[in-house]
Amino acid sequence: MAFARAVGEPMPSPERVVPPTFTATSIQHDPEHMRGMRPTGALAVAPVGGGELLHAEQHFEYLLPVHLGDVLDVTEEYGRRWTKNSKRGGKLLFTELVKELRNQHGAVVVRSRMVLVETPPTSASVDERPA
Amino acid sequence: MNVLPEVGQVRSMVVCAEVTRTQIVQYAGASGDFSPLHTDEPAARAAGNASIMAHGMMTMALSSQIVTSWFGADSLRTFGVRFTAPVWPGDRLTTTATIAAVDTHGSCVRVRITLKTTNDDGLPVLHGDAVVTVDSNSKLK
Repeated sequence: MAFARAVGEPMPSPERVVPPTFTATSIQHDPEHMRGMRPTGALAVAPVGGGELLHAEQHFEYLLPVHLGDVLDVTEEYGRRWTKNSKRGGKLLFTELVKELRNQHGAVVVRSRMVLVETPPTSASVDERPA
Repeated sequence: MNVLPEVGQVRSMVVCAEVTRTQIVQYAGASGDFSPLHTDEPAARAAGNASIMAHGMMTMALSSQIVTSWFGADSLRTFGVRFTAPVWPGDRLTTTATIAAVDTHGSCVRVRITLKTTNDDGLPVLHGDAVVTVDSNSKLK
């Protein structure tokens, strides 16, 4: 319901599939997340070089519908890592995080791929930053 | 009436009339992403930003509505985006969907849609694409 309010979706209903990006909020079910103000999972990835860590890309593959009441199990693993030269000097470090969500019947319902980018510490320019 | 989309067909909608700090905080609470970049104005400024910025996932959720309102959420097969510029409080976001391909296999129609969300200055903040499958006899909105 909080998600629906925040992004203007209709209130959740068992007849409708959940909104396309809703499963990205699965961190909410980690009892340790934000306890003592400390994030877990992808949100706990800290920049190693002193730059900023930003979300560059997000991809979803929908294999089966997800409805209210489904119980999902998430596995998360790192994918590829690569670098690119920044237009402002320094290197952009990209990291991929791949998730697979299975429902209570053991079937894969959603696969997702998140790409995070760490900007070099001195390249603080808005025009090349992903949101 | 059968109204399957045609390649090149374009739809546009304002997916957020004005991004506010309250909405960003509301999304933080809903998603669990409380990064200081999204929730702590002094920390965001100290990091060199003009203010807090919206979550990329909030922009993605808002942008998805052009596809779900057209084809229905259950028709979605893939949805992927690149976040190309930050979204700031005060931004008005408009998403444009363009039909890139329509492939018919029997009664199943696979439609590829490219998406672009821009702010008031016309700067793209999100580029993406989505694939939906619909029945060739379906009645789309």
